[in-house]
Amino acid sequence: MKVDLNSLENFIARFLRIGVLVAGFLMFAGWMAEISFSRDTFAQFHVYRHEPLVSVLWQLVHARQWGLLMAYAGMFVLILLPVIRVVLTLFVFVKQRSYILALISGLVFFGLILSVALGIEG
Amino acid sequence: MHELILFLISIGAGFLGALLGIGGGMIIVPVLTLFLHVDIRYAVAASLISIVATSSGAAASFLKDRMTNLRVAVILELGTVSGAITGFLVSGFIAPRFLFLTFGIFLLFTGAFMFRKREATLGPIDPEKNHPWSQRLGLAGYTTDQQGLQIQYNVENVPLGIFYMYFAGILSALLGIGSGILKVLAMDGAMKLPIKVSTATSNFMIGVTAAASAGAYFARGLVRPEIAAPVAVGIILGSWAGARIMIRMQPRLLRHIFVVVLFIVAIQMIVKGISIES
Repeated sequence: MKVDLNSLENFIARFLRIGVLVAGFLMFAGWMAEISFSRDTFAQFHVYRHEPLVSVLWQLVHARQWGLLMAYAGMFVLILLPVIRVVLTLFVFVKQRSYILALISGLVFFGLILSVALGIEG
Repeated sequence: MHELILFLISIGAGFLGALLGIGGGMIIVPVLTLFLHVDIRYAVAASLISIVATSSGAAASFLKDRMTNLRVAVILELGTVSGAITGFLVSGFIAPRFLFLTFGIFLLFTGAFMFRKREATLGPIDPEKNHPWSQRLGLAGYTTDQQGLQIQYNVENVPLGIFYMYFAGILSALLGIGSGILKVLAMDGAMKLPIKVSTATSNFMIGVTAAASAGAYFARGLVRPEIAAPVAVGIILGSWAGARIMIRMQPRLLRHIFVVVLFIVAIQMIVKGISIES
């Protein structure tokens, strides 16, 4: 069961580096487009308001706040990175014939989806 | 103006997080709630994003320098994810106060143990030390030291490590903090991995569990870019720097910094446990 992990690690490293750059750029550009030094941006978050993602995005499209929408895209990419990473690990373990580890990666992925679902409902 | 302060603090949080394999939650949440008066739900959402950013930001460097043990990460993730699901399911039945207090006191004791210098089981793979599961799944590996030399290490007590992870998953689902610290403790303390491999592998794993919660918060509209964008960008920059410095750091210094942070978190938790309404 001696498998060379070098190519796997470098591949995942490159994937994560590019993904973080893309997400970081989108968030940074979006933040810069909407930044304001005059008002207290956080005042609107002092009190919690129930507002699902879809309705927030819809309002932003209407108000033509492309900067914030770009930042949303960046956050989405960022959240997706670890999930894709689990799937990538699964494929690479299959390729290396480490079937037990591949199975475990599959279970982890399934568990992730389940816990997102539980979290959305809760 | 507030965003800039938040941005600068996030750079520091990302740096520390990458160094120690923990999320920036212990810094980001208090800054947002106590100083910027943001509602706790938005603050927790931003801190989840910060964990995902710390993890992915530092991972590339750690992987390239053989700090992360991918195989150990996958095995332990199974424990964390199932723990997180258990946590969601039992969340109505357990008083947070009890958890904060037990966990806080537990950390105080572990911190004391961890401070005492202890060598990881370095050296060629030894069936006496290497756990049978590690033997079977090829978990033992090698890493590089500060001079770039290869060092091999064994992996001990795999089931105990998985049990720790399961517990870490429950805690992070219920309290939202502390799972990174438990991950490092499981690998360093139970499985006897080198401290750098423990923090780097923990850093790699925290992103996965945090991403699951972050996804749920995101869909609920709680992750707001006005807060999360400066936090995430700052964290990414800080974690790049932290990862580079950690690779060159003396393991002993890293252990000592970790123990200091561990004590701070323990006290934070005990105070929270005492002050919480239950």
